[in-house]
Amino acid sequence: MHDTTVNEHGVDDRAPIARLMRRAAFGPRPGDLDGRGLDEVCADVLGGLADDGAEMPTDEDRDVAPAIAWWLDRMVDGPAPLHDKLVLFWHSTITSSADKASGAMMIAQHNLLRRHAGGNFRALLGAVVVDAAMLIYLDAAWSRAEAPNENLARELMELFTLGRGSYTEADVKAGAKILAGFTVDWDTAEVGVDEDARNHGPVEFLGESGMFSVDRMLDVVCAHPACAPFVTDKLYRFFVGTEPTEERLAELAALFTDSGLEIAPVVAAIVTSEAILDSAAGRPLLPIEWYATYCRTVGQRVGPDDLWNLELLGQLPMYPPNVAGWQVGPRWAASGLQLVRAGRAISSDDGAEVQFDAVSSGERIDSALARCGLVEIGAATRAGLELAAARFGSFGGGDQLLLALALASPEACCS
Amino acid sequence: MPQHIDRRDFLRLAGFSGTAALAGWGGTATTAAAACSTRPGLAPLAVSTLPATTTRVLVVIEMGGGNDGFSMVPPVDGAALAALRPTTMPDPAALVDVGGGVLVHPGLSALARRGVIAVEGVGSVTPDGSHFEMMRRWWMGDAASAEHATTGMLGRLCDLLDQGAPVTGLSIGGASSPALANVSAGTLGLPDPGMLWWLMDPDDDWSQTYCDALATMAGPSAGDSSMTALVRRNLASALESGAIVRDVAAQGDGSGRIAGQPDGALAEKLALAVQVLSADIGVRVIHVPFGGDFDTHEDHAARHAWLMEEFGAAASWFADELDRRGLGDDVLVMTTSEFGRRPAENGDAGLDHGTASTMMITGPVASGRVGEPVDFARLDDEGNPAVPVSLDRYIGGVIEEWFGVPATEVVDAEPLALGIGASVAVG
Repeated sequence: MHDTTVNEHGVDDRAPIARLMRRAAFGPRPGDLDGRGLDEVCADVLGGLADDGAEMPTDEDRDVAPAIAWWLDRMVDGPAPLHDKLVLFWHSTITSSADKASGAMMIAQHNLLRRHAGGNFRALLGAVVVDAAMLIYLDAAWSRAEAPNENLARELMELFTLGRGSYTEADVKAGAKILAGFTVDWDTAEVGVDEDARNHGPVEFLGESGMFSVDRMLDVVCAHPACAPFVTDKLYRFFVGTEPTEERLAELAALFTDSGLEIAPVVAAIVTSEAILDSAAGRPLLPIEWYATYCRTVGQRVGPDDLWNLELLGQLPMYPPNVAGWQVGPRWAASGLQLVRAGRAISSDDGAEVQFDAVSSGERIDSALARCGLVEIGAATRAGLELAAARFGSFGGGDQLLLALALASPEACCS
Repeated sequence: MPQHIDRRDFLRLAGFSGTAALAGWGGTATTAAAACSTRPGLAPLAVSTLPATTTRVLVVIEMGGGNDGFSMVPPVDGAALAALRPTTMPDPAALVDVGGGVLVHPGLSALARRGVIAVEGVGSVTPDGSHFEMMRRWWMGDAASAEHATTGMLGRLCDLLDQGAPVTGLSIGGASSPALANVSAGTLGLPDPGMLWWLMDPDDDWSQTYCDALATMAGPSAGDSSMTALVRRNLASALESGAIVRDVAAQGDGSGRIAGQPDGALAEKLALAVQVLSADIGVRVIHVPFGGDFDTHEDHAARHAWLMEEFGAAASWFADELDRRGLGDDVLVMTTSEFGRRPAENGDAGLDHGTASTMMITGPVASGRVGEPVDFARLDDEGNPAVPVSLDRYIGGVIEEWFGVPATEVVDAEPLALGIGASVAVG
């Protein structure tokens, strides 16, 4: 696959390793960049694709705050970063909100995504359309066939599977009928079926007609020619940050289809190629990705207090801004968010205790960069670090400054 | 009493303007960078030809989710709609008369002594039920063509009005709005100003060093990828603009809150808007995402009433505050929403996605109805009416009548006659 040309400092592979870990995981952890070859790191990263069976915990108050903190902690220092990354992808794409569904429902949905994240897409969809949080969030709970609510049917096709242009408004109405009849018990989060509210007649949906169960509906959706390219395109953009070429998309879509809509092979294909080889940093980090690196870098223990910071950064899990969730793209590099990040980077109490075991400015700067997992920086970033290193020594907060600057740098928010 | 930042600071910061502050919307990195570096963009109008009206301000309140304009300002000919909505319309006896033949939702009673223009029949003439597509059209301002794909409608307006101010267009709330994506004028999407403590305390060497180092880091750097270069440029404009706004918010008692300010997210944002306008730093367009959920698929009547009450209280307080500071004649407020809601109610006492809707303009205007009433007798297969007035014509009308500049630079549409110019002394 790749030559493991590691010199005594491991320098040759450090840049692609850092890039891989920012794209396919949540950034390099202490020691990840030291003397390891790319092949070894890649195998390690792919090993983290498997579901380790972890369950987001529910506490007796069924409060989501500790649950979200649990997930953030796994991003900072968990055993299976690629799996958690994939769960983040699904939560960012097939989303629901704790503003509408209960905490217990949102935690159950998260665990559903954990079980299916790297598995089969058809199975994932089947689980999601009967998930309590999703039924509540997209107004499908208690929807009746005679005047059904269209929200779930529409977003299922527009955002989860096919994209605009591949279905008609008539399909949305038909899909809404097929999905009618589910009920949700608010206290137990149990999903039930009200036979009186279900559709009992034939419909026409995506060019097929007759009697439709929810299963048949999802089969038809998944068999639609737009489905495989749509889903693989989203996966690609999430991991790489740019759009795939037509050829590459066709390749990945074929891989997805031929495997029977298995997610892991597509992710592995992307991770072992573009995530490493595409060296033009084109993927702004999602806010929570930057924040996980920040927590790890300053050595902060993750707790419910972090949720306020995540909200300010624009990505508090379980509270999506709208039904499109959070998509990778240049909007996360906007000016206003840079101000938030720069403010956060300099405000850490844990960061205030940082002191590098180094004397010269050059060594102190190298230490700061190593702490954040930054391998390559531009001239302007280096000049900024040198300015600060010259004005403040290690004692008196100078190393905290360097670390904050490294975290606030343009390089630290792109991969 | 109006507050002013130090003129020396203003001039110093104004010298930094011209950085492409593309605030980051959609597209690929290549598109974004190309928009910054190669697109000539709209040339700002020569200062000598600018009418005085270009010093006016437009506040755009974005009611995300699809506001039901038929509930906000019920149609004059209401019988057909009432038949389709047995449970979701406001009580006709409770509507409030704001003059000019305009009766509004009772939640907006606080606007009764203000001018309200109801703009009827507005929407995308090729409607689509998707929030994202419809919001994209509003932001981009060009339903048919992809020509303006990397700039937003409000962004183009800012480029046209640009007089070199560090911030011409401001979005208040979270990440920047794609509507402000532009080429040349300074724009900013704002976080909570309290977070900017580190930005300007000249007495603290340590935080001053942080700022100086960040500013150095934000200078041009050879070898950057186009995305990294974009991020670097955004950092530069962030530092310049954040300093101004931090100063503005720190005035008065330092809390950013104004006496008498109503509760709620909208009022908070309008309070910052008031302070920014008072500081007179050149902001001309303020985009305010409402922060409420207008997507009332269920329980419409109660949820919408709550939203109307918040809107009425905040908008009327905003107008009062502007009057107190002598700015009331210079600020126009317009609402927008990605679509309206369907005439017939659904089984959940709610309203699904619609097409045409009624928008609202308030400020130094005389009340009246403009646009074209919707024909409820002729509904399409989805149960929606045809859209008589394109969204582009609505914004075009505001640009021409309020700012006195050619709307066709910003949108490709014949401006709708709104009656703003007729009611306000121009000059």
